[in-house]
Amino acid sequence: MSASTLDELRRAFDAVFAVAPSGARRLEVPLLALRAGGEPLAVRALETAGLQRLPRVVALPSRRPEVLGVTGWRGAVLPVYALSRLLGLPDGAEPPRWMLLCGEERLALAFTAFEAHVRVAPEALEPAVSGAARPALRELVHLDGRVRPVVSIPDLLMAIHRP
Amino acid sequence: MESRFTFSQKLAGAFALLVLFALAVAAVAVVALRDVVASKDEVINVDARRMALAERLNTLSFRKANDARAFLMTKDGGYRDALRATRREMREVIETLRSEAQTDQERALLKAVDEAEEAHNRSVEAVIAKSGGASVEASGLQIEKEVRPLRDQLNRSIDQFLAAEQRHLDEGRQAATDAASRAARLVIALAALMILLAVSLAYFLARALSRQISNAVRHVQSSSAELQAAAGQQATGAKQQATAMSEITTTISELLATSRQIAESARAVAGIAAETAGAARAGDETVQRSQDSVGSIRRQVELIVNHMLDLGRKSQQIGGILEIINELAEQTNILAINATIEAAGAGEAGRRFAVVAEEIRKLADRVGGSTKDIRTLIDEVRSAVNTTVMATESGSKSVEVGARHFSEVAAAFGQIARLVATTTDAAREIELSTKQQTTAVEQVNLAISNVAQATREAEASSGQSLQTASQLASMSRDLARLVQSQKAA
Repeated sequence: MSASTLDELRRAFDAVFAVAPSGARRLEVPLLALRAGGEPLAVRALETAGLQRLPRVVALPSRRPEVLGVTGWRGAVLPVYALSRLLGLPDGAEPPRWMLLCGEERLALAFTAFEAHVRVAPEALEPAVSGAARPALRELVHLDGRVRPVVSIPDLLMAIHRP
Repeated sequence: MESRFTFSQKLAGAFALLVLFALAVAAVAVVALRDVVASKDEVINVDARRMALAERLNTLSFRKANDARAFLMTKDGGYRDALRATRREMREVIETLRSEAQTDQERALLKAVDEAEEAHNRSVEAVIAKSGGASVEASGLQIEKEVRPLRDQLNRSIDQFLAAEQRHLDEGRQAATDAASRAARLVIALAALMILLAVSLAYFLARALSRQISNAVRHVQSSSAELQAAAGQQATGAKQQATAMSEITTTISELLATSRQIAESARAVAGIAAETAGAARAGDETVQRSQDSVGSIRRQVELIVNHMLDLGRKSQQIGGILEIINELAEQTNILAINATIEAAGAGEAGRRFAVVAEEIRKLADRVGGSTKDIRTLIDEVRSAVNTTVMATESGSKSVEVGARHFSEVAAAFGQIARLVATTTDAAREIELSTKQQTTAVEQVNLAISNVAQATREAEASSGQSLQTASQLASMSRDLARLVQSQKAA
């Protein structure tokens, strides 16, 4: 990293705090671009409780094939679900390395790879045509010239808790 | 026989046998002849003499009678003396015959003759004694009466003795003739036997010798044929040799010229080799200096390699540090994301914090991007270092190879210098040797000329040999024909 690059970074960081916050920026939707089961997906960041690397998962027998096991996080034991299996996607070649912490239910959704944290305008989100087939994938977003389904975490939690 | 006795031995043996046989025949003939001669001598010396004595006796008897008649008729004392001398002689003859008498019949006949002569002599003496006074006629009558019967008796006795001597003579002659005939027959038989033996020997000798000669002639024929062929080949070979000698002479002359040229070239080579030796020594010194320079380059290259390897190790350490920075940026990014989420959960109070968190996240993103760029750069640097190290190592190896090559070149120069020195010596030796060779070639040329002359003479003599062999073959054929014709005959 050259001195000029460092200076540029420092100037950009300081510039953010030197100007007044714009109103439009407040409306932007923060999205987490990720990949589960080899499929590129997006998740509204504010629907999650956090993003972490997946710690060691202890496998448990379960009626539900989506459950990979349990893991420990900040003194609590969390059930770990495979995001790809919940969405009806194949597992893919790589094992899951990341997890999303979800709301009050205190569970984790494991996925393969975290790609980026982006903020998009609300109009960048559009309803998915195949929403009936996959209730948790009701929206699409265009990122870097590619279309990604946007996973609805609340719908996914409802599906998990549905008996 | 053929293998044990030679031709001359057989002939000598045959002649010796014939000579022995001839000697035997001659001995037998000599013995027979001596026998015949003895027999004839006996007849001539004894029987004929006795016959002559007997005839003498007869003659003396007649003479005595005549002398007696002459005395009686003439009364001449001479006749009486002659008569008495004749009577003495007659007695002597009778005594001689008696002393030599061989048979009783001769002695008896001689005794009768002796007695008749005694009686006759007494009668004659008596007549003579009485004749002094008597006439011739009376003496004649007395003689006719007294002497005549005695004289007839004497004549008969002498005739009987003569007849006996004649028979004895005839018998002796016949015995001598018989002995001569026997000897002649024996000699004839031996001669016939000898002729038969000679004929047999001649036949066997002719047969054996003809077989032996035939074999020899056959051998001579085959040998002469081989000799003829060999002489022909020799003549051809001599011609070829003469031609080859001529070519060799030409080649030797060319070789002589070439040797002189080689000697000249060797002298030039020796000069050039001496110049080359000087150049090689100069090149050796240059190569030694270049070798020192190459050693210095090699040391510099080794230093560069060490520095580049150090640079590679340090860039690897930078990569490790960059890995830590990348992980920190990633953690910072995640922390910023989570801070954003937490700020959103805090509502309005967390909005400013959310802005800070977002900026921290962006910063972390950019740091992460920068670390990727740096990693790329470091990778490029490491790759360049690796390439440089490899190139430098390759260069170092090339320098080592070059140094080794220089060493080899230096050694080669040294060897070249030594070889050139050797070449100079060798060229001088070649020059000397070529001069000697030239002299030797001249001598060889002279010798070859002599040999060529000898070859021409050998060619002539081989032609003579061929002619002689042909004549020998012709002679052997003639001899074979002669022997075969003899055998056929």
